[in-house]
Amino acid sequence: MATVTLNQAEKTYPNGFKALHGIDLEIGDGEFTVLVGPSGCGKSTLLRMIAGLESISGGEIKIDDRVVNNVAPADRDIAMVFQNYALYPHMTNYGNMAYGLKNRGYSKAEIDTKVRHAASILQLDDHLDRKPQQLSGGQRQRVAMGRAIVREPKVFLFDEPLSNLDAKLRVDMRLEIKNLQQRLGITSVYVTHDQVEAMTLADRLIVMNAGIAEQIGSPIEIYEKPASLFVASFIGSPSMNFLDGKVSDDKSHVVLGDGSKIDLDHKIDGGRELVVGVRPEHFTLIADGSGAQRARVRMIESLGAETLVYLEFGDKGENVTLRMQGTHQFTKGQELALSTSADLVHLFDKDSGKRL
Amino acid sequence: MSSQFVWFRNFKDVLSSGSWLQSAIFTAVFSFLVAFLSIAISLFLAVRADEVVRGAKSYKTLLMWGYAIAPPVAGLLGTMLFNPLMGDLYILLNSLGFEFNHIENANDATFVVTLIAVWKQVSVNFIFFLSGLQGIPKSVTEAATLDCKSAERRFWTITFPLLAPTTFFLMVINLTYAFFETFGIIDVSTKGSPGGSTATLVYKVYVDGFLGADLGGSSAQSVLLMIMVSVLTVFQFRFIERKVHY
Repeated sequence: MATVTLNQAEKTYPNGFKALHGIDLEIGDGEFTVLVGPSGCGKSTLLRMIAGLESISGGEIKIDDRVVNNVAPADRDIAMVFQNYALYPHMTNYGNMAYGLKNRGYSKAEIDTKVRHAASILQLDDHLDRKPQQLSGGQRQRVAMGRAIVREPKVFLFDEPLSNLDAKLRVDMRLEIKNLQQRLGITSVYVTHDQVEAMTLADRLIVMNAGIAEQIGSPIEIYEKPASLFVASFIGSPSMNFLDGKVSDDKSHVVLGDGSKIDLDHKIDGGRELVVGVRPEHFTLIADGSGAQRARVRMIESLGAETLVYLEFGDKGENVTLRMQGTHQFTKGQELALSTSADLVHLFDKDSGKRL
Repeated sequence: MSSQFVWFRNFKDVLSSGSWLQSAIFTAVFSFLVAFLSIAISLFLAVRADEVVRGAKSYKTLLMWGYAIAPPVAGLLGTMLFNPLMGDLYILLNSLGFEFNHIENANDATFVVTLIAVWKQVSVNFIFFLSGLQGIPKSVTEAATLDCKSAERRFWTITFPLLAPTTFFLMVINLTYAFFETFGIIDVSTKGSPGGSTATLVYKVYVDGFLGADLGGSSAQSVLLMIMVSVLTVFQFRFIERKVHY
């Protein structure tokens, strides 16, 4: 049970590259925090700084009330699950789980109880005497989690633990991790580039980009009110549609590239150019009506439960994706009339990319 | 030169001769020392070099340099360093009060050949250990730093077991090296003196056969040597490799 506090945490590599520009973050007791972002955004670096595997160039990191900047990784009372499992190949699975306890001076009996308990939680009872390479990927990742939970650490750190698993197993393990974390109530920090994992696991989501935290909030908050173009494009799949628009002189609506209008409830200066974001699921097809957005069908992907329609919009041929429930048939080049509601539209400043 | 078939006479003569037994014992001691010391020293150097961040490349290059030196040249270097008139190491050891004299003292002579042979082999082992160390996944060592605070303990419980395949391979290579390839070093430095006390079995084959013109005895020794090496290799693979995790 612990909190993790980051105070202007910075990371500069010896070659001068600044990977993190002052991150402020407070992770509450028992909270599941997910760091998400594209590769190179600094999310793994941040996690490794909390673990003590990377030095901290500036600011401080606290676990509970203790500043851990110069505390050895083994003394931070954290446990980490790595992407490639990082199991000790020469030890049995039992040995892997027991290793950390042995080095902390637990008695043989205590170790045995703890390892067997963790193994039963993770359904590994039958595999304890085997070596990691005799297990499947999913089982190995369970052993790695077992190695983390036997220690009953203050903080769990996950570094893309599901990336090496196949799609189906990933979904199962995702649920299992969520379950386990809720059951044990241990403060967790989870790094991923997969936004589905991020959305489903997080109590709190941190979207990172180029060494800064772009937005911190609950997954739904971030989905509904993305703070910037970057967050809007990163969260949600397929990605949000962005269309160039201009506010009309009377400030009552924004005019899109094809001349169609979307009503504004904001008071934004007339004539201002901005980016209009609409999620693919927030367009609806309407019977041909005036004032609707028109687009031509480019391609269709039928997924069974839903259909993704890729369209060309306006004179400039801006790309628009439309997500529809069920299966639908369209012909290439067919013209569709779309509509969206003003309260589902996101407006962003054209230069700064910030939400308006 | 006439020849006569003598059944196993040559083998009997060899096995009953004190000088062959002396050479066999020396070879065993020498091989063990060379293999053990060169593996231990190079492992230590490789672990250290692997930790170096700044100037790692030049450091590693310097440690690998010895690899390029031929055994006879290494022997020559040793001979010069231990020359009683001007050898720096000879003078140093004596000035420290060791009364070092490898020309007459068998132990001192063993020290000289062992030193040269180990020095020559360390760089080879170093290269293998360094690549072995770099073959250990970084995340495994990182996981270990979270699990175990003591670096020394981490080395013996994680790094060393994971290097076992490399160590085993080097042990085979180094024993073979000590058996056969040290010929050049011995021939240039001590020539088996004093009194054959630094003659390995291979060197003795050469001395008896080519210098002593005892072709029969020398051939018998070669056959015995081959049998010994075969047995040793089988033993290594049977009993030690089993404990090695690949």
